Amino acid sequence: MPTITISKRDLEKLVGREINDLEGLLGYLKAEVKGRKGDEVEVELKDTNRPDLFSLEGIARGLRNLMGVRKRFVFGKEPVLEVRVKKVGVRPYIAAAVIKKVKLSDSSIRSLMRLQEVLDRTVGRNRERTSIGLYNYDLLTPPLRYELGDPNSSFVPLGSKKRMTLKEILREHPKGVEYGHLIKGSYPILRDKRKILSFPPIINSNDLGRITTRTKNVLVEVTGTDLKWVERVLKIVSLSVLEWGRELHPVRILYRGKERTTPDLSQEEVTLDLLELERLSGFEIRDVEKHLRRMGYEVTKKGGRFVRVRVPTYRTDVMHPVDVMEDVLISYGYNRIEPEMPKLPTTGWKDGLTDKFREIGLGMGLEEVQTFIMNSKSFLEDFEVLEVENPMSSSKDCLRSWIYPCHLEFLSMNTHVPYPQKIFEVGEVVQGVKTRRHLCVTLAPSDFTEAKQMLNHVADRLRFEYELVPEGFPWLVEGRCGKIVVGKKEIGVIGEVHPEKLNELGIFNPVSLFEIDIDSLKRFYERIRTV
Amino acid sequence: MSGLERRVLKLLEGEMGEEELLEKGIKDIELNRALSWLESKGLIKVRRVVREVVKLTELGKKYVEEGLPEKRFLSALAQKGEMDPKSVMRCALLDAREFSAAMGRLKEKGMIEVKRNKVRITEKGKKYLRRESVEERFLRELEKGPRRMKKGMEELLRRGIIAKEVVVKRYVRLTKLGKRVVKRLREDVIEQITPEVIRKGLWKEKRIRAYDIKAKVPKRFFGKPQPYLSFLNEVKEKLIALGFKEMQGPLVELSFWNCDALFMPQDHPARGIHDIYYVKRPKYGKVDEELLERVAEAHEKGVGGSKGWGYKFSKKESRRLILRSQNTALSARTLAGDVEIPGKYFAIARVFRPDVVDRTHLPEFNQVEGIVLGEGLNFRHLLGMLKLFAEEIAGTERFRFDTGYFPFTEPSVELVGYKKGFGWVELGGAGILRPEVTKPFGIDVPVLAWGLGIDRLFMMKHKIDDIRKLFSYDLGWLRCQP
Repeated sequence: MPTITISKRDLEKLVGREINDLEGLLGYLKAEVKGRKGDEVEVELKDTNRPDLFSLEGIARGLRNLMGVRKRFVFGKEPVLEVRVKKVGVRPYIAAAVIKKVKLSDSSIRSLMRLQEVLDRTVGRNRERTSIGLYNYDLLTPPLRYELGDPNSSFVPLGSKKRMTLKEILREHPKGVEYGHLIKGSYPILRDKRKILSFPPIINSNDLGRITTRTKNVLVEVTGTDLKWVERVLKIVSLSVLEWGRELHPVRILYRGKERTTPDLSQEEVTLDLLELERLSGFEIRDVEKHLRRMGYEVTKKGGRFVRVRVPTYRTDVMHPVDVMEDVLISYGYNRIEPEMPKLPTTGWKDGLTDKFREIGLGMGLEEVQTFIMNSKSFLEDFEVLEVENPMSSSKDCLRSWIYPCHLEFLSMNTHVPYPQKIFEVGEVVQGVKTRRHLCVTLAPSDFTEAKQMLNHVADRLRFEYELVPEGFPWLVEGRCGKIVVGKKEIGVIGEVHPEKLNELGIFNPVSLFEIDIDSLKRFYERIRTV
Repeated sequence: MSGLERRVLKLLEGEMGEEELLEKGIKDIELNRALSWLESKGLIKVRRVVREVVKLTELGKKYVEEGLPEKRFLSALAQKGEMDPKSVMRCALLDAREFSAAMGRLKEKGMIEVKRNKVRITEKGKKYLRRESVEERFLRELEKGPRRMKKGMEELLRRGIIAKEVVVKRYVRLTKLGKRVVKRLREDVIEQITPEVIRKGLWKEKRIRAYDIKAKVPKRFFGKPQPYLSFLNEVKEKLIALGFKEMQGPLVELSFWNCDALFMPQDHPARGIHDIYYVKRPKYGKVDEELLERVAEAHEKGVGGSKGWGYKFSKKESRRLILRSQNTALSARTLAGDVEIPGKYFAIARVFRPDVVDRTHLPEFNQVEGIVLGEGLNFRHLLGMLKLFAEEIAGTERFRFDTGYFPFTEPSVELVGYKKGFGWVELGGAGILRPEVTKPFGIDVPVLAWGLGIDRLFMMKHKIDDIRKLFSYDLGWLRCQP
């Protein structure tokens, strides 16, 4: 969930009204105030499927709808600029728009930079899928070309004074180092007749690609690897820049053999079935049209059971009429709706196996513990474990296949606590890729006899018979451990822990233990289960 | 009172020094222990006398055995009356230093005479030789143990034959309370109720000794459930009482059940609503092909009036093995299986999400999630369920519904409750499953899905501010929990 910082003063400026209940209003947009510092408000956006709201400008647009404030913009029909695309294999798509008559302040420039940053990071997948560039339109000499450039061609990167070649940027500029891997050895550039505008997705040029408070007209451009997302992101960014200006004009993109005009501001229409809405909500909502308008929809046809609405062009999340219905309910207000308990004739049921073994463990006077299923491969090096591919740290990089090493880890952390320490756990392990539930009993100080007495007790309670087959297990004393076999199935291990391991773990008390797979004992449990 | 204490008490009469008590057959270490216990209970008074004494040094012990050098000097000399000094030294078995010191001392006291390099014993010397000297007597006394210093023995100190030592002597007497207790003790009472006492009816003749029932006893630790698991079990029993059935499933899950079947797009930020752990080896598992086909279609083109996400669905990605990151995966498995309609299901199970461990984050934790499905269910019923959870499980009367977002529900809602001392806290999330989720499973009735932030609830109840305590490795802490 992205968190953004917005200026309340700028928000009020864009909305055109004073805002008193910001928290309440943001709730309608699935956003929450996380903190405030002077004029700055930190906002968390819960709906990751609404990138159009990831900015001050997007929030302002939403609030205008809710508060019924109208603001007029001019949308130009004819493209004011052309971008010729030559083969740019690694990053083939581009979309662009021109916003005219903008009035920018330092804080609105900061807001647009934040939008750019958050979109690059989220929907842009760290600029791999899409990346955004803004330019001073008045300094350009059309036509524009998007092509592969000469690695030795050069320009002054944004925020720098020194002219650098594309190669040097990759090697030396922080952005080049950070994003250089995305272009895989080729050098996409956007240029006009005279100069390089930018080296996407890495950096803009300092003279053309810099927006200042004196900039009157802005070119917005998005490049990327996914046409649908390139055009969507362009739409979001250009409409956000438009919040600070008056006119939005399209740009013609000339690919080889086809052309596209961006941004595509067409709107989809959805038919809302009021009967379905009532079925979903559980009550009749009056003024559905009012609620639709508050949430930014345009009602194009009404009367009878169906309402036809036009979905705002920046909304990419509306896939099904339920998405519109939720908006109606949100506008109506969740807290105005009377909750009703569903009356369904169902009966409860639990598996019960875990509870049975917990009861047995507690009955034997053992102290219950709960240890982590994740552990570190280096600690469990003597065991076969399932590793994860993307661990956050080497202390949590695999899943345990037995509980008993985790219990020894537990005991090693409690050597200062009074003994006896007789613990048990009913928990999950993963053997191969299969999840199994185990009961593990670990006793200190203790010996084999006590462990076996307890195992016998478990067997008596569940009415199963077992056999012990001598076999070596990691960390246990050879000759004093073995596998527990029921029928022909191996279900666990019993034994005394090797003094060498105890010494290594700093446990200076003899430890015995047993561990059994309780899932494999389910049939015995079912036989004695009473309800 | 221990047996040892009783033994010591019974021995006491008037004021006694500790040697006396030791002579009665109590060991040194036992006596120390008994005296300190009895003293702390106020049964005896211990008087401590600090005394300076002297004792034999190693040299002193040697001289007690072999005789003082001057005596040996004289007795060697006495045999012949007159000798040259070298012979005396040889005959008396003295080393050079002892010899010259002894000669000097004897000469000074007039016990020998030295003339022309010959040593001769005087009458005074002969007399001294015959009798035990005061020094020798004192040394003999010291052989039995340290004694007070005696006047005139300073020279022995100087010569290193004896040394000073400070000792604390204890004298013990009974207090008033002690006397009363001893009186009782001297009676013949029943200490322990033995089989013999019971069988022979001994209680009829003897009194059963009373215990100090207020006395402290050593701490012992008994079997006890892990507090967090107890709490989860309470929640589980409550849900069962409300008519919910328990769901279970694997920790190593297919991306299919964890994400795809829940309409979380493979190429969309909504998938990254939280991070997921991927299994290193093996990488892929098996998915029912027919179901996979239907889910793929829902993603690509949509079902039931939806236009879908409109991207190229990867079936390979769907087969990817991961660690379960949300228990909604269990709900998906249930909906695809033999699900009852109407039905209520829940799971309390472990989920994994990549995170670095700190006070508020764990890479694995338990989640309580479930579904309610049936003809005619609607949003008001969803709110009704949440109201029930707020009141019955979270124990709060003040709560509200906030807007929320989950990729698999529409509408979605968050439950926020007021907890005293904590303010408004998020208690859980819920929603009605999207048609794109339910249709591929062939489910045509509304499905209400819900989840509760159970960890937070437990932490508030137990006043814990560190989430690591839920899986506490601190046995001392666990033993202190209610």
